[in-house]
Amino acid sequence: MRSGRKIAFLGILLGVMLVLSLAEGMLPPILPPFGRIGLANIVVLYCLQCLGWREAGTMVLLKAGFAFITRGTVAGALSLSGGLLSFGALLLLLLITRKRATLAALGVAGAVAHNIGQLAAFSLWAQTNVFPAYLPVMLVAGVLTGFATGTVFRLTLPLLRRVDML
Amino acid sequence: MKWVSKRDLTAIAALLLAALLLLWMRNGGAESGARFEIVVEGKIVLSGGLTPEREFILDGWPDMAFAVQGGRVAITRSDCPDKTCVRTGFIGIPGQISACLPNGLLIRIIGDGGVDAVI
Repeated sequence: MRSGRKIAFLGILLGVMLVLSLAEGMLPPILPPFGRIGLANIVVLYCLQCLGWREAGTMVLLKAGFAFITRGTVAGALSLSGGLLSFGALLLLLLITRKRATLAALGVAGAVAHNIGQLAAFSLWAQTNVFPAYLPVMLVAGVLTGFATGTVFRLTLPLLRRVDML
Repeated sequence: MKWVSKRDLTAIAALLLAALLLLWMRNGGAESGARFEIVVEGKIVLSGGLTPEREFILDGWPDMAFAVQGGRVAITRSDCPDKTCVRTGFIGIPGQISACLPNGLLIRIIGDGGVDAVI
């Protein structure tokens, strides 16, 4: 892919990611204060599946940067820690399954790791070990939301593949 | 790409079982003697017990209100735009926090030992 087209395409993907995140923010949180579906993760999954790990990592960093600019340091740090741990888990899962991981597995691994990363960042920020209070709920939430995003991705993937931007 | 496999379901069942185990351990922990701390920029500005029931405000924070009720504590009013802290509601389990990010204020629950709950 020519680099100009690629940058433009990544820009569109970032836009999609931010809109998904924004639209989701308008819904009431499933489990206040942390619980969200994580629809934006679908874009990271798409990048991993159809573009490559560099592009997926770029999306994670850009989203955290955007959260940092628009919602402040804490939101940026939460997005970054959740995003990076989630990204790491996805790479690890693809590596150990030799890229044969199912979409549901990728969704769940990404969501659970994202939640753990956010709890770790929250623990540091609050100077309190928040894991005993929140890990059980966040594990269940990660399984449910991850399964949901994996399923949505599974449904949209055939359509996305028809988008021949590259 | 496959959607879901049997191995996924096993892994999911294991995760849910782990969550259940952690939940059981959490409820088995000492809930009595838990206290709350209100923290602003890393400094504890107020610390108190989860009884008796009361409503209070903090010096210098006229737009926020707090309440202790039924062994739990909550931010009941806030001038912040997102109101996440108010929606969080009452908390009382050691490790739980109710945070108001825009105001840079949070309430945290610490266990009776105090130190064991702090990293």
